[in-house]
Amino acid sequence: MIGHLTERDLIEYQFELASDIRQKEIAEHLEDCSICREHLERLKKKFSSLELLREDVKISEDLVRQVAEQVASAAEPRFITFRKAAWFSSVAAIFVIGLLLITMSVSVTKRQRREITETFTRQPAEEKLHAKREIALREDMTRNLAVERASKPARMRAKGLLGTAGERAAGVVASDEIVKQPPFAPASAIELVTLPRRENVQLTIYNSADLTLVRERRDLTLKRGWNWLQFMWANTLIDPTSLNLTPLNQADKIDIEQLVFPARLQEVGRWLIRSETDGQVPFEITYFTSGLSWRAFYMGMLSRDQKTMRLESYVRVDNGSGEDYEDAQTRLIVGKVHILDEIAELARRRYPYGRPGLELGIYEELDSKERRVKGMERFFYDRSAAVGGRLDELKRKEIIKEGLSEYFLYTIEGAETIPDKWGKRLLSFENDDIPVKSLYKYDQQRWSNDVIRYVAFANDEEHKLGQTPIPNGTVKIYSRDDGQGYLSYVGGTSIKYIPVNEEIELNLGLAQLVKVEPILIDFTTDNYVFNKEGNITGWDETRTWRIEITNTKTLPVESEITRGFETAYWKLQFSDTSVSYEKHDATHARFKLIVLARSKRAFEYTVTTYHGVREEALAK
Amino acid sequence: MRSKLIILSAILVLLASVGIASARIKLVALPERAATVIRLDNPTATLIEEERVLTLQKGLNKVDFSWKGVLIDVDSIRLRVLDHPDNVTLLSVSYPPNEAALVWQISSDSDYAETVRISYLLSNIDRLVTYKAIADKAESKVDLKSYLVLRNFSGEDFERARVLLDYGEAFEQGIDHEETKQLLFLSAGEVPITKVWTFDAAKLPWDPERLENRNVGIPVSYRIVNDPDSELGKYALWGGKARLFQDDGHGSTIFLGEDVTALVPVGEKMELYIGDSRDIVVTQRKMKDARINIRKNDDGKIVLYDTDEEITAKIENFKDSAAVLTMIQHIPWQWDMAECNLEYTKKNADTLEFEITLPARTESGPAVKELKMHYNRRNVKP
Repeated sequence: MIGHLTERDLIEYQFELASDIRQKEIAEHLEDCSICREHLERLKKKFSSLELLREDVKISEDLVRQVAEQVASAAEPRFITFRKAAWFSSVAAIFVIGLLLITMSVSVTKRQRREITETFTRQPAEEKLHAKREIALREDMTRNLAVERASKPARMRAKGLLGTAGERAAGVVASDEIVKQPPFAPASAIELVTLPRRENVQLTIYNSADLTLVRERRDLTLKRGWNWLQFMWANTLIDPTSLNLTPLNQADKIDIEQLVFPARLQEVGRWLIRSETDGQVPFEITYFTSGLSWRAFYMGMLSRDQKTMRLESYVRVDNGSGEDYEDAQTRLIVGKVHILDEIAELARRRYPYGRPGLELGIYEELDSKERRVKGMERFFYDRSAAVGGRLDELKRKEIIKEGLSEYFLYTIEGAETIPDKWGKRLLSFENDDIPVKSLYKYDQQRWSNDVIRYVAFANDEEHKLGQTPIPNGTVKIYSRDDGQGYLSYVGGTSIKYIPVNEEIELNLGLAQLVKVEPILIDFTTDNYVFNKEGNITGWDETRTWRIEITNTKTLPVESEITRGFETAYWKLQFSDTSVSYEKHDATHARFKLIVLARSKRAFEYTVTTYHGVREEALAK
Repeated sequence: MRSKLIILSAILVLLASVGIASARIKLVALPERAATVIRLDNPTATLIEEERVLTLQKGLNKVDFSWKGVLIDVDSIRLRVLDHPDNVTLLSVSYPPNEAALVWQISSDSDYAETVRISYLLSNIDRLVTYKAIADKAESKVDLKSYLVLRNFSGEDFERARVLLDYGEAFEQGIDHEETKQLLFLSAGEVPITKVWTFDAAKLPWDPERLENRNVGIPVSYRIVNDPDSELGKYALWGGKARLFQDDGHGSTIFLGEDVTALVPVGEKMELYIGDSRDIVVTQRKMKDARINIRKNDDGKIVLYDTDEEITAKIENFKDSAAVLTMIQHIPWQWDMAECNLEYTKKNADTLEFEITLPARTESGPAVKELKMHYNRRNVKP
């Protein structure tokens, strides 16, 4: 053989297209010629993957026929260049068939699935299930998947930790006919769903956080096997991470396998329920919502002698949740609950648990807020008309109060209907003749030269209270000053939470008719200490103060005067026994005295403060 | 079903012209993904392992692994040969320019339908753990449930995968892109709890009077021990958000509060802060604060002194039940206790812990206890 082998020779040799004699000649040449051997190797690499296909493809006659038809109808330009060489045609043919076979195997599967999906959306549930299983099998055959088939419910079990319902179910699976794989729940944006009626609903509303625990009872009809239950909460402020479903009956036969928040659909959750029973089962659905709130507020009416007060306590419940609650048992929680995330923020999330790697985008919040507001308006107009008839209850409702953990639970008697955007005021308690003490406080460090009026009482039996703690809220105090039944507004303030038996002082603000004036009547310094350089290192200061209290009211007043010395090194001389005195803390002294109606009273004290090294003298 | 975005290709390169091209033209076979494992034992990264069957030809083979719309840590990608590890060798890995892809060169001593396992770290797919506990009315035990929340925002659908956590059995679960699934994975019916009230003098205000009508809440926690006595103790409990409820005795529950717990190893305690108690009131005041034993330099300047300090704390229980308050006091620097009317444990050099048992309130008023602590701080430098 002269010269080297052509590429065509090599391809014919490689694909055994040459005659036997030619094949032998080429083989002999290759043994002697390293250049041609390298050339062949390069070609082999080029076609190695093609070889792979030729080996791998297993085709049915039917498929070959389909492929042949498709090849015949394939776009000409794509292959035209390959026809120029016979060898290339053969390679191309193999490749094209291979490629089409792959495409077909995938597209056939996909087409089959699509068809069946379309079909089973119109089939009863059991047929769907069957169809789905068929698909699964078919896919397995086509793809030759090595996935281990599930022999247990799709549920993780921390082995040994518990007997979850899943394990219970697993034992049953072997002997019954419930399929092991749950059915596919089509993630369609268009839904046809049955709406189980809400049997009853309970609202537990918190006031320390924008949080309400909603508990609904609904009767669901289950079929034996797998059931999907869809829950949608568009235009509400529900926290989807709080959703919980519990069967109230036959809990041992019903297993809530998982809660799925499907892709691409928002405000939708699906529970996968495995049931060993057929028929109607009551379920309880609980979740948190925001937008419902309650607050306590008070009205106090002081008697003419201002020694007693009538106290009315109200609760006001407002519904801005986007959802109407009809005939809901309403409970209010008094207490400070610790929460990590605002429920309203959780409700606004596009994805219930957020998404890894990305914080919630602002646009998402805005987008969903806008949608929600629209929804609320719609509800508002729809429902307002229906409300009128429900507000005319004749009997005043009781509020039952009980303690739980660190909270107090107020349960409003009966059921309330609170449509979205509506509020409701209810009387919590009312008490006449609660003995109160007016106290006029003076503390220059806190209120400069003002006298602040307080009304003090205790949440105890002596004050006709003390049954339950008093929740925090605002209070408005009135008095009957004129004797004709007209009211005078004394002042308003906020009231803190008052535990049972604790005293409370209500700050009613500036007292106009009581004045306190401290007058410095004597000031001396003494006991100077000098260092080696002759500089002052210590001294004493002695002040004598006269405190004058003027009461222009027609009633006697009790006043409390607190004096601060801005140092812990002080000594006070005080001898007036008609005034009570106590050391309040390291830097303050406190005096208490009664000042009669329309009178002036004064007391004096002398305080020595020690400065610099003179502090040591006192410490010793 | 979304199309697969992670593509493994056995390249069929038709290099009709051998010219150097900047773009790669690929004609590929697509080996189907077989067993897929999502490994979630590391909370910061999710490892995907998938098995695929490669039809290898004797000699050199190129396998192309590429992805689009998903975030894969390129350096984490590994290929392992399962069937013929001695006969099939991974020769090299190359990275095509400007592509989310890599090409393996594999040599094989024969033709094999080789199962390979490809593993890589995939972003935006993870798991969370949440807890839900319902305490009984007496607050002595809780029904504890833990849920696993799988979140897949990776861009890839996993039709069926084995999900592995760091304990327990693997389970099979499919999860689509943008899908979140919540599964129950732990339930313990009667886990004993201890309720704890804590007043830390360094964190809470001392004198409620100074707060102008605001309550000081004493933090309340539930303590759960991860041990066999609590029906737990087999595995560490993962960190996550815990929501606590209480049976109200009327067939319903109230929500007590929520907290986030860190990982709790076996034998350790989980402490869940649920809310504040306003029925226990602490009024703490410093009644004395003086410098004593003053030492001066030749210039008369103070260089060292001791202190004489006295603290009183009145603790009032307005609850109708008894409680044990853990009170934490801090005395910085070197100190001696001169007098203290309650027992304490020295937690560290400057932290004292008092366990104060408070009876329930009576008709006459709250149960009151008073702490009086007289101490000297020593050798304080000005």
